[in-house]
Amino acid sequence: MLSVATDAINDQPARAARLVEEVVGNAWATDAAGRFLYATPGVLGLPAAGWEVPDTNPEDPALGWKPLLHPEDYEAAAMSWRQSLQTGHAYDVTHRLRAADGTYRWRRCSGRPVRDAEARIVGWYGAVLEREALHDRERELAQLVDMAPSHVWRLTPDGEPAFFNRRMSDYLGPEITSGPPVGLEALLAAVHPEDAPAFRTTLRRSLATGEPFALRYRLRRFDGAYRWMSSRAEPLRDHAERILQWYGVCHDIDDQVRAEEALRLREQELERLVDAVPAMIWCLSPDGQPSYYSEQLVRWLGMSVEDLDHPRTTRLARAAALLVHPADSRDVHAELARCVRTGDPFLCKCRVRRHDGVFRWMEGRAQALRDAEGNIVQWYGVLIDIEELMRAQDELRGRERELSQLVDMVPSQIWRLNPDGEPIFFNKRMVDFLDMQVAGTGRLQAVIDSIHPDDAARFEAALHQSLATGEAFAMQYRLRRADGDYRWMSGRAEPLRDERGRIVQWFGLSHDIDDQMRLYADIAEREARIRRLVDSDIIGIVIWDLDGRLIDANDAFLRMIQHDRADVTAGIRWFDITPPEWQEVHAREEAQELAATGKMQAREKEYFRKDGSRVPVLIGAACFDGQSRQGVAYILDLTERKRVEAAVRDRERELSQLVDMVPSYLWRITADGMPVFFNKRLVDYLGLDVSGADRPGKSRLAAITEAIIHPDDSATVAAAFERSLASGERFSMNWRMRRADGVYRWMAASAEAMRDQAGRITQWYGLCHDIDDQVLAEQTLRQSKQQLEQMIDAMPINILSFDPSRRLTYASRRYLDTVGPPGPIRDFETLARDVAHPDDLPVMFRRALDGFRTGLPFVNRFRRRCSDGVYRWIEARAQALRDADGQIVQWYIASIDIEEEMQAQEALRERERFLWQLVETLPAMIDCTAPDGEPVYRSQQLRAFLGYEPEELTGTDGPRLMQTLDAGVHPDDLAAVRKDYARCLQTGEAYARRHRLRRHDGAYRWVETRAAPMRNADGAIVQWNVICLDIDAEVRAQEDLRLAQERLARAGQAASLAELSASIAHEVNQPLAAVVWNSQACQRWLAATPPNLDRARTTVERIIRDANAAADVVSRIRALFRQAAAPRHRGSIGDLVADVGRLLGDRTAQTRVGVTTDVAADLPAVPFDVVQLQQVLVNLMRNAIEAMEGQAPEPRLGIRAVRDGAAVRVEVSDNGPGVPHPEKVFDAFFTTRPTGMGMGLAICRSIVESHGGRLWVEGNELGGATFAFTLPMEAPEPP
Amino acid sequence: MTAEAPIVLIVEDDARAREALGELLVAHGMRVAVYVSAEEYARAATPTVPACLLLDVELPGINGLDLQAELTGADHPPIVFLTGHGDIPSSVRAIRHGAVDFLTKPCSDTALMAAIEAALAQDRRIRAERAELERLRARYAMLTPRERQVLPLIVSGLLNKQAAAELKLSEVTLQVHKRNVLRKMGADSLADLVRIALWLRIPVTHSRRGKREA
Repeated sequence: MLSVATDAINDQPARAARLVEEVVGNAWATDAAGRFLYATPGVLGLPAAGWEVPDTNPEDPALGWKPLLHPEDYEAAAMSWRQSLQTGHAYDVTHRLRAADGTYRWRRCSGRPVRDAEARIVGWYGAVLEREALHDRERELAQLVDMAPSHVWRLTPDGEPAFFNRRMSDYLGPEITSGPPVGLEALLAAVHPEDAPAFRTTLRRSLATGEPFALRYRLRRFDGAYRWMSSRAEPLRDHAERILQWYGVCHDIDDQVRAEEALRLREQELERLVDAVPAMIWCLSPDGQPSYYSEQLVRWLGMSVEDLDHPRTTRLARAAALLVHPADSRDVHAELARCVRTGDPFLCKCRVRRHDGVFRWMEGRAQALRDAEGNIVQWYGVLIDIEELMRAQDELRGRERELSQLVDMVPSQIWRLNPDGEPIFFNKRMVDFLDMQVAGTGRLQAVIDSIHPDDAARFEAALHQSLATGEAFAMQYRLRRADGDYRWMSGRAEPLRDERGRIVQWFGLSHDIDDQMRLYADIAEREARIRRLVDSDIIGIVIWDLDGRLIDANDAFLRMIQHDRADVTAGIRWFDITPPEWQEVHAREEAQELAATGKMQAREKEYFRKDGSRVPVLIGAACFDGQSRQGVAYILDLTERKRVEAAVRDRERELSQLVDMVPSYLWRITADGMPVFFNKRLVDYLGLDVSGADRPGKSRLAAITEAIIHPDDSATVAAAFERSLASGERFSMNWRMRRADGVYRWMAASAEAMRDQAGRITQWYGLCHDIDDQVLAEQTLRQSKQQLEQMIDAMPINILSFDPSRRLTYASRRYLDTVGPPGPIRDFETLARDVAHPDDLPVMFRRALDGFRTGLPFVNRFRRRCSDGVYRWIEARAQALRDADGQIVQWYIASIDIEEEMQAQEALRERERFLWQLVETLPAMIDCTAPDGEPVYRSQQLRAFLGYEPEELTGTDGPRLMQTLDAGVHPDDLAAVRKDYARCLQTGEAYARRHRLRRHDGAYRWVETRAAPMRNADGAIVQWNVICLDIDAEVRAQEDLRLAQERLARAGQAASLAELSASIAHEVNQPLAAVVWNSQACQRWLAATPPNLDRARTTVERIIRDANAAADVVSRIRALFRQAAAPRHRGSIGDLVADVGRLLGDRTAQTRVGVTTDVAADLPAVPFDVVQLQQVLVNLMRNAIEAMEGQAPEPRLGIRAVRDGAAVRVEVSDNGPGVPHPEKVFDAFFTTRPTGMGMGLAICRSIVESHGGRLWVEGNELGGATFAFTLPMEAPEPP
Repeated sequence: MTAEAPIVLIVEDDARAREALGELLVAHGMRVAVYVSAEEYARAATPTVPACLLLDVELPGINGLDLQAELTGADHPPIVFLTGHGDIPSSVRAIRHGAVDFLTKPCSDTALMAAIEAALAQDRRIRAERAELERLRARYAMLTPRERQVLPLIVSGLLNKQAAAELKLSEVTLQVHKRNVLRKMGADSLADLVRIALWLRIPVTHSRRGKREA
């Protein structure tokens, strides 16, 4: 900066500026209008270099100052500046100016105008001067001192007042403070005359010694009123420790002092009152430390508050340690500490140590006293001796507890759950309660549904929690009884685990705690009520006089007796509120006591309320000291205490009654086995009390046992008792117990141990039910059951019975012998699965379940496994036994062994199945019909052949037999078949016939049908059995054979003799061989010795016969082929036709050709060669049949023989395709068939013509051809 | 005529031929039984005496050749065929199947009787053999189990010592058994016993050089 300045030093104005800056300090210049022309940096709090003249606003010259000045000072400065600019007077203002660091400092700023020659102002120069620092402080302190909410003053070292602040000046008024200095005496004159000496003395001492001055005194205000002041002063010394000044301060504490005064007065009054009251009262400081014990309390404790002081501990801790029973000490201390902390009223019952060292039960109550701001000022407490009360209550409670335990022995609800929580058992009490059987599904939900809606969710959650975690379940809930009432239950459940720790099931127990819950509710309510009473300051306090008037009473007392304050004002006398029976006591004892001692010990009595009802109270009283006519009484309302007592007493009585009234015999024995209690019922029954059988030298248990237990049972009873007492296990057995009249009755006895918290047995509680009637009934029943069982066992059937839930209740001896004991199996399902054959189980089981569900009797046949492991067929019949209301009581199942029967049936069935298969698979069609011929059964083969089922024939179209025949039998055979059937059905003859039967595809096949009747023992026909063999193939084979023969025959027609020799040879060789062998035989007979002539003759006759036969054959063959004139005989054409018809019978039948023969009766005999004409006729007929074969749907062959003039005409007609070339057919070697030789008709014509006849052919009108030939009656002359 | 007198069974459908044939054989002193068809013959009981079956080839139903085929393997008399018109294939087939002769009708009584006698002789021989076998089987049935063990060993040619070792017997005991076998089987010598064993088809399982492969 220096170098910069040096550089600029040559510049004249700059030098001037530097001069100004360094010498003058802070200077500034403006123009005439007040606009800044120049300012040293100091003005702006800026460094010397780089500053800038603040821009000024031409309208307002003061604005140039604005950024420089403290905002508070600106207005005043601006006004002065504007004034100076206007008037030309010098500007001189003290204000705060902004420094470089941003803080404001007080500065004096002055400026003067610069005038030109005409004295016109051309500009302004000014300077800013530092003010001295003290000026600032003085100003600040003055403000502080004047504004402080206290009187502040200063004295000279010799005590003369040198300064009063404004507040003090205002207080004292102008007479004293106007015109300083104020003399000390003037000040003293303002002090209250009573305080002035002390003031003077104290001040003088301080002035003399230099000690600080402190004093409370009354100071007169300007208006003449004295007010309390608290004044303090201290000296200011120089470094030589000489006092320079006294500085003092003086607070107005008038209100405080007056409040203190009032409080002190009140405290004194209370203390007096409290000491007078015969109650033990104590006070605690706000932090809970004992601060006051009433006289009574001190006397009672033998110790005062001050005795509690101890260097190492607090009063409270020491009081708790010394005075409170060690067992209660901690609780009391904690409770008190809590109340002190929170401000809650304190109430505690504890044992407190009396002066003689005895601990007595006391009830301590305390409440906080608060000031206007709600701060705790003091705790007031009272201590009431409740020893007697507690003792009485303890006694009652103990008795109540015992009795409750006894009552708890009465059975409870017991239930079991499976691990999923589904109930699997309810005891009867629970079943009765819920009116719900455990059997069935969704029982858990049903139980949950029975829980009060308010508890259900909680119950379910707790149960699921327990089920999930295995924690014991315990809760209380309301359960709906069957009659709709909700009752409180205490439910507990614990899991039973197997050896691997898995939960097997849950055992639960529910107590009906509805009564307890209500009692608890009552107690809770009472307790709440007491607490409310306590909370509401329940110590009643009354000021009275000896005339019996109540002078004053607090609200608590008024509440007790339900009077209001107006009544007190009007005048209430003790006499008015004391019941008559207490009045004498009041008059005699209390008055005397008061008169004699001035006090009345606390006692319980009653007062009338305004409404005439009575209120029990505890009252104590004392006369005021010195004012012997008046006194104070404190009254505690004992209504609640009395009520609690009464409730407990009632409860005790109720329980007592309950125990005696329970319809059971209850008893209690000690842990070591000594009977200590019988309930009244038991005493009445036995005719003796618990000690009634005592004998010296014998334990009471033994004596009682001997006296009341049947001699037969006493040993086991004693043993059982001994065992239970030793082990702590529940005791349970039946015994006969002697009644007072000497009769023994059966009892079901049980006992359980009650244990204390440490698990030690404290008592045994026992219960006896009279079960005599039941036992007798059971015995009777058992006898009856035995008889029945014997009866059942004697019967050859097995009997089982099941209860309605299908649990096995009985199995007869025979069943056990046969099947074996069912073991642990109890339910029907498992038993069935165990013994029934798996193949039979499903059906058997379904039927059984249907039966069980519907209640209808059912029968099952199934294989059951016997004890030897073999399955045998049985028939089991089940029937339900119902009670009078129709409810099923029991299911009885009786089973009989039907193994043999089933085996026989099985064999039969097997045989039937075998036969059936045989029938169905036989390659024959089998048909069974009813006696009237209606179809009953058709075998598979027949059905397949016919192509329809017999059921498809409806009964409306006539008898089904006839339908079958009409549809199936060939029309040509139908009439005959129907006729035969009719005859057989009528007569019962067996039937046999060949006919054609239509197959399902429409083809007719030859069948041979045979039918035979099946008769019963009486000979009546029960069924026709029909077998129908398909012989079509056989028939066709025969046809084929015949065809072959015919082909041979036809071949023979035109073949040479040699070709035919083979067949002819056989014809001839037979007779020839016979001739040879007969001849040789004859030769033997003749050669024998002696010759056997008879046999020789016989053989010779045979030789002649056979030789002729052979010759016949040979000549006929020759005649045929050589057309040799054979000897012609007159013969009957009718015979000829009949012979040929027979010859071709098989052929016509085979080709299904219908043949009609029409021979006139009056035909004359004509001469003809039989063999030749047979050949002709055979030839013509065969030609006709062959022509129709495959051509005519219904081939018809007609043979007709008529007289034709002098000849006989024979016609052979057919309905074939006819003859296309009538003239050529008779030519040799003409044929229309591939296999024919074309010789037949040529030969025929030559044969006919050799007989003098004619052979021709003509067409029929309806199609087909007719071949006709004639034979003249007279033979022609041989050619 | 003794019960052993032979009988000729005639099956012939033609009455005249049957009659004549019967007459001829009776004239030759034969016992005769006649049947009209093969079926009728099949129903009749098999004769217990030496017999011959005179069978016509051309029979209704089952012909003679078919009947022969049916009888093959059964216990039946030897067959002599007769035919009206014999052909070579038929005769070959008949002879191959065991027929004694195949004669064409009409034939001479000489040829016929020769054929019948041959057939009867054959039947007698068969019957004798069968009777002998039955006798031997009966004897064999009388052997004790141990003797039945001994028999194959001795007919196999084992030395007594070897056979005894095979059966873990003493040689003396074996010799006793051997004697009993010979006696019971009616064998005159060991060679005779071997023949009998062969007849009874008793297997030779051993040889002196060691056990044969089974």
